[in-house]
Amino acid sequence: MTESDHSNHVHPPNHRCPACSPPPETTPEDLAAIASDPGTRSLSRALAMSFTLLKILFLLLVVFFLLERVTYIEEGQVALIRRFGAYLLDPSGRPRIFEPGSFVFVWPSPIESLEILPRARERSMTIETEFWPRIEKKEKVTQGEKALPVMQSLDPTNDRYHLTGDQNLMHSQWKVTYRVEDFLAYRLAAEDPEAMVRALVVSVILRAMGGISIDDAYYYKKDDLFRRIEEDAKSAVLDPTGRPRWGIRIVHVLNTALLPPGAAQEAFDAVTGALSERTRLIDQARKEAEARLEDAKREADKVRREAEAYATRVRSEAAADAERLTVLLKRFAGDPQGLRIYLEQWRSQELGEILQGMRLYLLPRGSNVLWTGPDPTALVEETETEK
Amino acid sequence: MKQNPWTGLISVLLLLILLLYTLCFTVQAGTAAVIKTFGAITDVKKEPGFYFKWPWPIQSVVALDTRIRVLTVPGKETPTRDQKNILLTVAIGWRIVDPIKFLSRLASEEDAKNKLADRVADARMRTIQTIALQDLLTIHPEQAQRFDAFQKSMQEAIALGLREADYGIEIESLRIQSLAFPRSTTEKIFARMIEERKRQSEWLINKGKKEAGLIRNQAELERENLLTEARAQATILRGQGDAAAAESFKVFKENPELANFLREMDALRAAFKKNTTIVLPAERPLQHLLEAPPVPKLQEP
Repeated sequence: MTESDHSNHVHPPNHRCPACSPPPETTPEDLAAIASDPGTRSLSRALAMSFTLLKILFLLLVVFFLLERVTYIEEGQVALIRRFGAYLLDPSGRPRIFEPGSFVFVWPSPIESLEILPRARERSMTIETEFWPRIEKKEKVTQGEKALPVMQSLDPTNDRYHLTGDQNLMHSQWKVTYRVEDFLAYRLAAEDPEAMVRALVVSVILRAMGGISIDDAYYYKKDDLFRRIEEDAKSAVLDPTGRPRWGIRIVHVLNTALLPPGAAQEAFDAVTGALSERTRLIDQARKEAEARLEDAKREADKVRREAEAYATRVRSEAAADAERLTVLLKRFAGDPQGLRIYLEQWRSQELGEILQGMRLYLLPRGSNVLWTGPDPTALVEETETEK
Repeated sequence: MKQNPWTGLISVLLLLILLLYTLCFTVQAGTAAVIKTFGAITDVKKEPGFYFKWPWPIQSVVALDTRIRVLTVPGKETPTRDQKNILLTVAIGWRIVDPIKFLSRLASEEDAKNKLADRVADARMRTIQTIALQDLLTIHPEQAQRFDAFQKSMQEAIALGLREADYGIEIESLRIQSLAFPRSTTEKIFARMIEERKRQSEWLINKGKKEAGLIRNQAELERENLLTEARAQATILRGQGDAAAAESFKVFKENPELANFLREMDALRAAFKKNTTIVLPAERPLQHLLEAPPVPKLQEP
């Protein structure tokens, strides 16, 4: 309805037509009246409080967001930061590593991302199933047990083993200790560096076992074998410049179990027993041999000592006799009579001493039977009486 | 009502973030991004960084991991040149070197793994048939080199196949993970192992006995040698003593009768030691004793 039509229409009573009668202008007095209205005031306060709360909430969200982007690097960890996909590097071109004890702020993705890695301490992985048969849980052989369950045959898809150089079977388990040394290579060289290391060590073990006989591996050259495996694994994980291929350096490769198949265990135990028996026989023979030789040495020494004693005695006696004769001849030189008298006296004296120390038994006259009773003269008297 | 400037700022910020997500992308280190424009491959970004693109559906980005990955291919029974059936499991390290070719020729990474496994199986079979089992399992000093050469030849065969197929993939390494016999063969091996160990036990004990015998015999021989040597030395020593005594006896030549008398008296004393028992006939009890050597007649000076 245009302004010109307003003369033609009839308004109902109390109707306010904006064209005919525009609403009255809101005066400041009106506004004041509205503002002073209690309901309005209450609504205003509520709205103001809400907006204030929203602002505080927003501020808290921002603070929380900022704090959440801060990470504390704990002991045993290091951190790398990627900025737009590339690792942050230090001036020397090596990855910038954030050490334990530091706080790191990272912008949200896709600007930056944080990667936390274990620090260069030793970790380990076990090679448990690659050369081991599949065993039911109840028959599980733990480290230190001496035999595997007896199986009539081995299914190559489930029961694992390695072959020796003489085409025999062995089972083994290993523990590999390693260290992450090059963090950049560890993250970028391979998708799963541990899997690469595991595959490499398994291959090294297979190769080494394939070049040795089962007896050497199990009995005679075990230590050499294990040392060779560890050395080969340590060197194979390095590139030609000596750097770890996948950021990992092997520290140790330790054998934790080496067993023949369960079906042959008894036969191997018999060989172990035979080795012990052989050692025992040889040790026993050695001990006896040593004892015999010791006896022989003692006997030889005795023979030599007796001969020396004889030689000494004979020399001494001869020298003494010669000396005695010389003395006598000198003393009684030109006096043979005096010498004779001296010798007669000396002989008598000697005889007397000799007889003093003797036990004398007299045979009865005409008899050659000796009575060895306490009183030998009784026999003499008896015999005389008989006569 | 006055406009709050913070509201405007936040709105602009949110809009920028939205635009960032649709117009930009990041290439992570270790990955490559292939850019498709209306579904066709148009570009590839291999260097890590921040790049711009048109929003979808104009352009899309496919990220590919270009690091080395491990794929294990289980063994299948295959005869060697000397007709020994073996199962050889290998693990290969492979990676994408040409992302464009990779996406062009392969449907997905799963497709890549399957095709790779097929090529590995094929190369493995052909390589196994060229070697004898004892080239891999032997106590010959060159066994390790032969083992490595075998792995290398298999790797080269696979690499050749991949070059021909041109998948944009390369093999970084190949490592044997398992070398096994068929199930039936293991039964025979067990029997052989048991028999060999039984023979070895007997041999060891016999050897031990023989070695023990040798040790004892050797000891006896040494014992005899020791005693023989000692006796010889004793003879020499005695002889030396006698010789020295003979030197002293030269003095006896001056008066042999006197010397004899003195020696006989010494012999008498030595013969009749203390507690000696003598049995004599009663009629001449002291006759024998009195038959001591006479005093020698001495020459006048």
